[in-house]
Amino acid sequence: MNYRKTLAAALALAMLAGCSGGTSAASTPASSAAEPASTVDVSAQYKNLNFRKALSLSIDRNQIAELVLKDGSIAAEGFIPKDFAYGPDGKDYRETAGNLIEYDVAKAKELLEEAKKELGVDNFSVELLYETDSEAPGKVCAAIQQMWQDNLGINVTLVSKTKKERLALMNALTYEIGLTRWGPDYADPQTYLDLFYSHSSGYNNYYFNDEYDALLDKAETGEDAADPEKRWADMVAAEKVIIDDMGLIPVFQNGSAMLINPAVSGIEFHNAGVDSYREVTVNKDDKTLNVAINADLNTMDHHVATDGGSFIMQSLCIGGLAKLDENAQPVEDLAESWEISDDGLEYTFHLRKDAKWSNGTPLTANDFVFAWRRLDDPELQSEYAFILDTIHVKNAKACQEGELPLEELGVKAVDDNTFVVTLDIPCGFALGLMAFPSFFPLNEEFFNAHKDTYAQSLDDLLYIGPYVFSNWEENHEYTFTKNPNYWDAANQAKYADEIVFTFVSEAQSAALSYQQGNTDVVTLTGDLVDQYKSDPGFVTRLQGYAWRLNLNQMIKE
Amino acid sequence: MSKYILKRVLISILTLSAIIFVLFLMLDFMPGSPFNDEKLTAAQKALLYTKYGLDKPFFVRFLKYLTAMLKGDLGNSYVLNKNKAVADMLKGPLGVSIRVGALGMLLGTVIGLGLGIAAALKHNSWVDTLCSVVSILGVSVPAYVFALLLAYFVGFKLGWIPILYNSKKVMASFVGPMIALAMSPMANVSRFTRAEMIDVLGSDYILLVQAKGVRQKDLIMKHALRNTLIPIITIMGPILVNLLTGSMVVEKVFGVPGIGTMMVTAIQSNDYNVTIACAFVYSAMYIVMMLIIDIMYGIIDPRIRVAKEGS
Amino acid sequence: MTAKRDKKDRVLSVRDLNISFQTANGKVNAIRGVRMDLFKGETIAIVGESGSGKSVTVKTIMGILAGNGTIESGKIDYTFTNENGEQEMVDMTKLSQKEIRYRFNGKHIAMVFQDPMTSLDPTMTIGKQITEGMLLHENISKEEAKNRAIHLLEEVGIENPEKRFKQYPHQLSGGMRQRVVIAIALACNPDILICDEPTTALDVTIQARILEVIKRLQKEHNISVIYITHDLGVVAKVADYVDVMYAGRIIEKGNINEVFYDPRHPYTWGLLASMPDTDTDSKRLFAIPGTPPNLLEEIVGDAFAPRNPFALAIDYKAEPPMFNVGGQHRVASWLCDPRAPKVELPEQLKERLAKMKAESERVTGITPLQEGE
Repeated sequence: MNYRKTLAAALALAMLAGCSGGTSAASTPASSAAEPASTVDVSAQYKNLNFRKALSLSIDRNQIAELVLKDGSIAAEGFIPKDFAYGPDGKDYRETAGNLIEYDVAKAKELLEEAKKELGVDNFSVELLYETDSEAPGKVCAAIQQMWQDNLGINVTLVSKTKKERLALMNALTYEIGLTRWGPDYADPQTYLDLFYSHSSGYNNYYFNDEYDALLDKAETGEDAADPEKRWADMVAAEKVIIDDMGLIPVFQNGSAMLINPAVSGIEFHNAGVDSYREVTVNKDDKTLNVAINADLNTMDHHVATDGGSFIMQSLCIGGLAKLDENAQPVEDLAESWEISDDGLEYTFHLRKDAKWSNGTPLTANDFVFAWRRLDDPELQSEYAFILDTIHVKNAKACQEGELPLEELGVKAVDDNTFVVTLDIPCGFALGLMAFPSFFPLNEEFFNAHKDTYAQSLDDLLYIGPYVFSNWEENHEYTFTKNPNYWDAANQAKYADEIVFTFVSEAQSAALSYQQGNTDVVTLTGDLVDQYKSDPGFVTRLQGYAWRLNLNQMIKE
Repeated sequence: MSKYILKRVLISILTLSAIIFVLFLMLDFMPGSPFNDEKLTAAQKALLYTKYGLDKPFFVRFLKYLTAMLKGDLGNSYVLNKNKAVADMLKGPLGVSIRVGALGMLLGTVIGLGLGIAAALKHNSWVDTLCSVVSILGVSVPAYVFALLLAYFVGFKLGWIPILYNSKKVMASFVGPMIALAMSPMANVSRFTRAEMIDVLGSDYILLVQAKGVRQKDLIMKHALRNTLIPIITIMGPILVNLLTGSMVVEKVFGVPGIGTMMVTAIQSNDYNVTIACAFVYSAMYIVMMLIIDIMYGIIDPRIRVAKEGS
Repeated sequence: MTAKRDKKDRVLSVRDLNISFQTANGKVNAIRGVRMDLFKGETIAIVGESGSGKSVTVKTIMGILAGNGTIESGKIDYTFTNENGEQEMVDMTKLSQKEIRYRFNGKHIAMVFQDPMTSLDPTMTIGKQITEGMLLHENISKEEAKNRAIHLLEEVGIENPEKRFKQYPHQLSGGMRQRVVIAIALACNPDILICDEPTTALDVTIQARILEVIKRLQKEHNISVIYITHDLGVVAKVADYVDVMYAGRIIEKGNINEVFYDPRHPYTWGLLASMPDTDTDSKRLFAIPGTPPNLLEEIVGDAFAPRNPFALAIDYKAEPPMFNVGGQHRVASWLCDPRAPKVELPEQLKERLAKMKAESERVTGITPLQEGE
């Protein structure tokens, strides 16, 4: 009977191997890259500016976006993506900063020759790391490999890993060039620029630039922080510094191809922050919106959530002080008005008096105080606690690290309807973030009555938004129906009666269901774009995700 | 027999503990962590590790997990369904997966047996050809491709079955996944049954049964079938492995909220507790099935049963 | 031992039987003009090498001929007492296999197979396998069938029959299993018992006991027995009458004394010489060179001619007829033609046959049955 035992264990092994190791089997370990034959120190070639520039100049980003990806992605024009952050003048950041990226093969060749002379080598080999969780990175890297080989004669080895393996390798600095992306949390260039700020965190661990750091210091916490125009100019300058020095090589801005039933309108896509399904019109008999989601709902606890899908559903059920309008500008939601002090450090929100929680309790300022303190609570260890510090809420960092009691956090309830937030440093994008679920309110009494099971079932949820969560089928389907007690119920009447999110990880199945008319919204994978691009419901949207190449100047074995 | 079953149960429990250990060990070697979000700083990660006790040495964690498990506590999810008890998370998906899997297995086995027997009896006829075609297709076409073909042709083109799982029409929703899952058992069982049946029909004891003047129907039902079934039972183990691995992709295609989908997501997001629990459930299902097969084997094959009774 | 054969006691009469098999390589003429008789209560032995057609002949009688076999011509007349107690004769070649199987198998004609290790269904109890036929052919209760089965088990010499009744084949030794097979065969009181090499797979010590069981039961139940064997030692012990087959034909036949102690066909000499014997060097006795002919090809003349050291010119041209050499003894060899040169039995074989004869006359009666297998 022993063989059964062996078999069972082998099965368990095989199952895990089949799921996690499949992709890495064919790839080369990153550490084997350092061939002593070419150069003694592989990092040296990445420290060479001419080499870095040559690499960037020889990438035809338009070809990558239009011929390789075809899903609405666009060529990068800089570190900061397009259509996601707007300056004090109301103009898109990219419009102000301009296109910083060139495609010039002749120049690239010239610079490469210089790099060869400087480094005393005849040719270069590089290793390019990408993740296999989705298709796009592989396609893009194959194209880049081709371009570098054809344009520069560089020998490129591709290394494919799962996303988490790639992140682990990049964190450990055991890679040469890695394709990575950033999804912004809020509509300000700072969310990107901070990545390469040498004192901030561990995101960037291979490139340091004093000039860049100085500009960011000035813009974020220094003399220009309170002056939106100057702050904006500093950030534009900082981006130019890092692109001129090729601290990173921008590649493309993520697009996404979708199928949306033409009878459906009003889904708001926000390139930064959370997409909104709150005001969707459905021209169908049953006014039900069926959405196929390719990632499952992780949690309904808005202080614990980290993923877009969860945030979308939480936004239906609760809501913030402000919401974003179609131009991504903050407008009143649970706060009916607000004032900002002249120094930009104190925000006073006047809450709606007619807003009631679904159990009949009226909304009070304490619901925000309690919620924000919970977000910052070292006990909870919310992965989004940092966002309080990002908008410079007073003592956010110290409280989160347990150095100060939570009572010291810069929030207070002046009376039931007045919520005041105090900042350390002025923040131009703080209002926009009020629409982000991490800042949503939470009723203390309700929470304390549920504590450990809070947000884990329909009985453990309280609503103040336009919808209530009416059917929760884990791993499968999430149904939201109108909240009868919503303060703006009359206005809400014209929107979808019911929104059903169905978790389907196979895009092809979701697309077939769309064709059958059973699903209204589907996100396509790249391989399905050609098949569906002539469908009347085919749309592409730009996302805030910007993909770039990190060139590791501090390779570790 | 009861002593034998008891012994097998004990061995199964030991095996399962060994599996948990191996799983734990493997997860330790897996790259990444549940908290490898780019937005987290090293300090935050360290705090999260402490919070979930992941900073403790391997054996401490293992023993803690094992003791909690005996109380039915499989820990909480770190990613998939944050802070929710894994044991609660498993219930729904497990039920769905078992139902789909059992139906697929049953359908595949029954049709496979029928096809195999028919092919063996009508050697070189169209049934035999059909049997060969089915077994070649079933063995060579991956469950994923078959599921997609079913979803496209039967689900989309013909509209006979729902493409996506619908909890309001559970039985109809099971049809697609069930057929997709049934292919592999059907192919294997029909191939084996055919070969075994031909073998049995050519055996001396069947000749003796013929010499007794027994009717053909009784010859097949009372003698040939039983003897054919014994070797078929031995291949049920490998078939079950196919089925379990197939269930992951089939569930994905049809959007079935089963444990396969859950496990793939858990592995991708390094949700340790969920991964271990899913892998454990798979192993447990396998071991329990093997146990059942062993016992069935005893019932159907007197050579095993009687030997067990004797010892 | 050799009884007078009376036509009215004839049970089976095979005439000019021709059977062929369709194979991938072509048509094989496995049985060529076989003529054979079986009388009430007598034992005949069909002797020959493997492939000589002996098994095909009996399988045809049992209706269990392989699917690719065809009866080309000839008839097998079987005389039996039908359900109404009347004597009836049927030509089995005119019946379908299924008809033979459902009408005669088990009930009238039973068979014991060569290998007791494989001829019992491993998944069914001994008891069920014995009573299966009874319950099918006779209108009796399960209880009655059980009693009869236990009695049968006792009869074939199995101790503890009640216990054995409930056991499975794998719990029994080879010899016991063959006894069970015999019990199954006798379960419905058949007229004819066909034993296809019933002892070849068994230990020498057990062989004799099994043969004795068959012999005793044959007497008690007045059954006609056909032995199929290549072992002339068995034949000597049990048969009244012998048919020697070669390449699908009977080449020598007669009562046991005629064939054994006065063999005329050189092939029979070879068979007799190949009997194991510790005293003499069998190679020196008489060995048949070569291999049996390929029945895919048309055979001209005597099929045995290429292996026959005494072959005559005519052997290659014409098939020999059956020569009557006296008594019931018939030989298909041109050597028996009066015009043929006289060929003497090899001297050493002659000596050996004399010795065998003496021995067989000395041994009488039946040895005790019970055995502790």
